[in-house]
Amino acid sequence: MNEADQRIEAIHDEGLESGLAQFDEDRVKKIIKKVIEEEASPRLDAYLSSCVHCGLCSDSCHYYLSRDKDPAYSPAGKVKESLLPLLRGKKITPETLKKAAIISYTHCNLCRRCTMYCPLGVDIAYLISLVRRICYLCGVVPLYIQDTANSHSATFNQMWIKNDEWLDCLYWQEEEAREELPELTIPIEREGADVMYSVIGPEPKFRAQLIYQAAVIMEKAGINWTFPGTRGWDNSDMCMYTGDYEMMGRLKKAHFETAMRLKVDRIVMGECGHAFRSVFDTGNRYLGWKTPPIPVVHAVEFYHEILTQERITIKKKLATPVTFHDPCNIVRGRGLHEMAREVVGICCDTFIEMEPNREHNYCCGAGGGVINCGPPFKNERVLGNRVKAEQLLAAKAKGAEIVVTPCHNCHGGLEDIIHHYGIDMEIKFLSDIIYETMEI
Amino acid sequence: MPIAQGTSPIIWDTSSGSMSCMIPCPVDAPSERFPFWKATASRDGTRIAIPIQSSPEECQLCTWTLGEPEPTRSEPVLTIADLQPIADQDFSFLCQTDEGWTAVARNVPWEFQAEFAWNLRVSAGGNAACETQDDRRYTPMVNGNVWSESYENTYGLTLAATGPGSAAVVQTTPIAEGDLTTFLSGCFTLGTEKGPWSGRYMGAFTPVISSDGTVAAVDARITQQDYTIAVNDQCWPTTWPSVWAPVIHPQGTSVWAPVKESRGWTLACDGEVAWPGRYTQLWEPVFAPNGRRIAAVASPEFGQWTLALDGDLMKTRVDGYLRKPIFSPCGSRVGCTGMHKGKAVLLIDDHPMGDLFDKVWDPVFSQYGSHAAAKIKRGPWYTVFLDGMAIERRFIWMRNPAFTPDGMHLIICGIEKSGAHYHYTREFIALK
Amino acid sequence: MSHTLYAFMTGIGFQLALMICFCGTVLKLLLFFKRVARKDRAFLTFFSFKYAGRSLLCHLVPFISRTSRIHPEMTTATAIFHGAVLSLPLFYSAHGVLLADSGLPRLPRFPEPLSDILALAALGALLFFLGRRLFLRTVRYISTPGDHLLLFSLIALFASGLWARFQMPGFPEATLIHLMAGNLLIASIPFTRLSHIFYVLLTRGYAGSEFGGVRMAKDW
Repeated sequence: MNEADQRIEAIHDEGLESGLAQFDEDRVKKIIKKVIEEEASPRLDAYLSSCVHCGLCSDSCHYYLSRDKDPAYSPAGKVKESLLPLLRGKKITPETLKKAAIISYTHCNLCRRCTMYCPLGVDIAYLISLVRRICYLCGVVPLYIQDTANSHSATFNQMWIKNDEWLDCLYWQEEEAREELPELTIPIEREGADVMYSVIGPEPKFRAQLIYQAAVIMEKAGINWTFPGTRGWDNSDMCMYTGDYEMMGRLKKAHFETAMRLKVDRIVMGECGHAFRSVFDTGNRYLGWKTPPIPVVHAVEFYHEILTQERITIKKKLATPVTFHDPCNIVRGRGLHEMAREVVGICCDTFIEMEPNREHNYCCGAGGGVINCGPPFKNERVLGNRVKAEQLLAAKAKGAEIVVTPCHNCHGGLEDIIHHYGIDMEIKFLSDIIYETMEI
Repeated sequence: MPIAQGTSPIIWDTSSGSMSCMIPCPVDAPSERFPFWKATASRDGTRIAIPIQSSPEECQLCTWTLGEPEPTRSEPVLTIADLQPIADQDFSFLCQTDEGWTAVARNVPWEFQAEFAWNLRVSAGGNAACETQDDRRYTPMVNGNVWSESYENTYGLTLAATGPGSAAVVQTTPIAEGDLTTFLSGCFTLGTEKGPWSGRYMGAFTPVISSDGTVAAVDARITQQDYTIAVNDQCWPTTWPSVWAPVIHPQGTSVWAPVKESRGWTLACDGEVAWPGRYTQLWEPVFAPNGRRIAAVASPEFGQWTLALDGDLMKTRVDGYLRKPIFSPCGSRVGCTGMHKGKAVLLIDDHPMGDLFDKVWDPVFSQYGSHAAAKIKRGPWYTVFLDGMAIERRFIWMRNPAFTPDGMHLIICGIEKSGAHYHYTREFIALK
Repeated sequence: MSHTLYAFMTGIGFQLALMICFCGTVLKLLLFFKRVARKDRAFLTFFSFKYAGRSLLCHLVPFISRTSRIHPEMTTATAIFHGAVLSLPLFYSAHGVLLADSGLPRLPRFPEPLSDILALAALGALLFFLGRRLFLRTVRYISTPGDHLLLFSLIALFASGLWARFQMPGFPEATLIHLMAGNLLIASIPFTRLSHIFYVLLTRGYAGSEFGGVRMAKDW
């Protein structure tokens, strides 16, 4: 048994175990047959039959690079160990399913970097998502991410936040902000506003200052904006990552319905990557919308717009040298890397690049729902991203003291890496540095 | 008697021409900061109410009445929310004071004070309800009376259009974070003012209730992968991988809902598939008020949207989205709003009307369907789109237009800028 | 016997191999698009010839994509091998004679030394691929018996071709092996990993379309 297998064997996760306790091979095979015959794109067959097993995808994967090039962590290796036993194995055992679940949910961030490195364009993230879909239908999902998906089902946000708590947070932040700007309002349910601002659950739960900062930026930029007062305010989506596409559709419908009901021109999203993927790419398509029915603008694009149009002005640039971590879902997922750099350039004196960067960035290790799988998998996640720590250390050696990244998951992932590898760096959102440097 | 959608109560249907009153711009507030977006006109259009911040901490509800020079001002409160008209001339809203939250309906505050109140609902029949939270228990209230039971959480409180009934999704059991077992055991059901249903579901989403309050239904998640419709505490015998919110026949005789079959979405009635077609998407079913027709938004192909009327697709396709269809009171006409090629579009009986507005609100029809009108926005101005033509007015705020029950007039109510001040106008437009 | 086999391999056998290759490819593509229309409308909606072409170009031309730059030896070997395997069947002089005998129009012919160098280099590239499969841990981990069989078939094809070309002892048998391996490989294109020859247009093309047309990002 290789090291990766030993690590998988040692994992104990209540969500996986409780699902495996109901294991029935016939049922699992029926599920796999249904997924392949009714749901899977024919691209699956094209990918599997045309992959020449050249191994060129390997060097794209931060897990592989961080794990001393252990082939079990290479993208093709992960497909071999997770998808192929389900599709081609004569016998499927609970161990097969458990291994497939652990690899697909926690050894791959669905960051799509490998697609860029595979000369044939095999979409490994798609293949791994199929494994997750099968595992979800079999009820074998890590506890923490399933709990988050349950929160989505129960409350339509990822943090079990009830409607009064959401509204209360908005009133509270308005009250706080009025001490700084007495005229400020956080408009709730403003029908006909230009912009609906949507955030993810952790903002009202743990990072309410981001709502405050957003309100100040909106106010000073003179934006006609609103927050929804109902379900649909949260744009996050762990169901997309568990493989619960039905619930993903329900969440996205609620989100877009809210924007349509409020008659806004566009949705501006807070600094989150996975939510952008869900709203811009995955969720809308599942529902039958080619593109988001209401234009979706990520915070990076929005900040770029208001800064370049001089709707807000920067009072004094941040003197501390900063570096920038490119979040996969808005860089490989939307090409916002240059805009982000321009925003950083407008607000900061010294910018230090990490290498590789832009589309070739390494994922933070938290994306794709991996951080949401919780403590049983944290060690794997952090050790599986040593290359990111090396990138940060290199930037630090050049003088960077702050790493800016416009994504909540990246914050979580980088915090763990910084802590584990003892890197003395601060992590900030773009809105943090804009708020810190703007004229108020 | 139910008030048909898009028409207005008859008692004040005697005026003609227009009436207006001046809303002086507060001296200490820049005009662009005047919160017109919070304005609400009474149903008869004779009054307009706007919550106005009287200090950084307090606000008041200012109400102007046609023919009266001065507005009336409510007692200062901390917050006013969910302002909406009730009955003909009154307003209802939620307000926060130092003691907590309460609701005010027809100028009378309810007796309760809760830690929080939200989702104020007002029915055409004049009932008002809201959801409240006190001491971490959640209890809806209807006309000032609390429901018989309180819950871990409530969601989507809805009121019967005319009867006294109310329904909401309720969570009956607490779920600790990380407790998958309790979640899987089913902690949600539909609650009414009389108590919760006996069935427990893993999830319940959009409660609906018939206009007389006798039938309630909800789209429910039965297991992690199975969904169905529950009607008056009985689940349909069939389950699907997904369903959308149901609709109840106006006479309460049947319940319909979009369901996802392996070949696509279709419409089911009382547990059985009722439409032959299968679509990429199908949702937002609506009955004509007479119950003879049913329309829904359908996507016959990926990225294309149209209306399906009684199972037949309309010809017009849009590439953005379509919203819930609206029938005329007589059921002969159907319209809806949407987006096509990035522009707002209004569909009336399969005829698209676009390019004339940036935003458009749900259309209203006259009693017998001979006229259709919709509130629209062009640039910064609001006006009305009537039978294919925009009325040349420039309102900075307006409410949805309404037809008089006799179909002789269209009533528009809006605020226009006039010098340093604003004028609220109610106008009757004679129809041919 | 060997003469009959030779005649079969260069005649009906070759035509049969071409037919199987052609029909199999058409069938595979038809099935692909039929299933795409039913299950993956996004593929048809978002496939963009512009971005697919851009992506294919950037991945086919050596040393444009980052992946080709960080593996220069693999890029060189792959470029040589693909150059040879795609050009020699048509432009090697002896092949040209056979093709002309089959009634096909006369194609330009490589000078003999060029063909020889190309074939030798391709054989070298194949041995390099074999070395990767056998000695690189990562590639060995994902290699299957089918991959080895395919590689050995290709090595057999080039080795026997060179053997026959230089008329080394036993070259008539080598010729037969060459013809057999060639025909089998042609016939197996739609049903083995060789299907990447046509699938790459769709897989890389679709990746390029999504990256370029939807996500506004480069994918090379």
